[in-house]
Amino acid sequence: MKKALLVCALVLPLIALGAYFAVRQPLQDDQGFRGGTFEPPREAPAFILDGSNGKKITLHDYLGKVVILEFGYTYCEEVCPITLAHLTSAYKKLGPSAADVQLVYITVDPARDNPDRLREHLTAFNPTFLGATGVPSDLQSVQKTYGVVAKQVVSRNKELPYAVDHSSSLFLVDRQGKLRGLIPFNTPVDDIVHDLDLLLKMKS
Amino acid sequence: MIPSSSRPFSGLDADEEYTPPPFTSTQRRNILRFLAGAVLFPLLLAAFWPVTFDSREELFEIPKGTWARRMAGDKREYLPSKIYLVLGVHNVLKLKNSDDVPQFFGPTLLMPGQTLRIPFTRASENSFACTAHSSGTLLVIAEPTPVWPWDRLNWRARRMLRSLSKT
Repeated sequence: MKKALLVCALVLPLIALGAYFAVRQPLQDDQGFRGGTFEPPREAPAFILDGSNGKKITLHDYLGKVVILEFGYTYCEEVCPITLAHLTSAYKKLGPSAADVQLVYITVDPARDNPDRLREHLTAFNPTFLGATGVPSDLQSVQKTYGVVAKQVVSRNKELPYAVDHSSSLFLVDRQGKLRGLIPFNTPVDDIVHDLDLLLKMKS
Repeated sequence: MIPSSSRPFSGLDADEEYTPPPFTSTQRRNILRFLAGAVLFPLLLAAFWPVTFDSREELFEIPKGTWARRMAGDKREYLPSKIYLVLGVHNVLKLKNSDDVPQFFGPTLLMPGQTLRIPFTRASENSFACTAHSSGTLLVIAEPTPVWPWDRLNWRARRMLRSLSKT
């Protein structure tokens, strides 16, 4: 009897401890960014490209706003529509603060994405979304400075001549023009909103 | 054959084999209990003790000179090809580029001295392109938090096997 009690005294606390940690919610990293962050942040590489608004656009034009950079192409069937839909929802959730956020969608397929095509495609998601295109060498140079990879591949859709495999993360540039973070593909909308909100509130 | 005169006193005749006295049944039971306890207690501890780490972050540093070594034709792998994270407790990958040149990691370019911090919130296997690896890729595996005893035991066993396979 005494031995049984001794065993219970040893095992029961372990069971209780295990049960406590089992039911306890895992810690959430709520303080910081939920996407990737660069430490220290560097100046976001500059570019001059043809905007879907018919003007030349540079990052400098958007100092004071939080800029989201997306690299993609309008014929993308697997990645870009999901990301653009998430961003559309994120804009809605941000409410009036969304006016201080600018999406710049830089094409990786300049042969098919001219400014008109970009405008038509992006306006369907959100009229404030801005497309950017240019000559291939300029676009490749921008891709290189951000570490973006894009490669033409055979399309699964027989109606399209080719597809482009490309990096799928979003880059976040703060109000001061610093490259602060990146958001991996398929990040939940709430996490995107959380990170944008943090950037909007950041003073420097 | 040792001459009987030089043998230590054993109380036995010269040709008689020494056989130790058998354990009593109580002694045998106690030994079995002790052995069972010695096996069961660590298992119970491994099953019930929560999974904890000193930090949420797993630092992965690209050492200085990595690019120079690659350029010199050194194909040896100095960096782990797989990194394991545990959601909720050890879920942040902190990648530091201590090399002298920019390195590609996953979707981006890391400048010398720069760090990229990526928290993982979902169990997943992520293959990142990485120029610091001779294979060109790094696999980051975010495992679910082992909350139940069997999961913890399983997780600890896998961790032990992984660390043994490294040595």
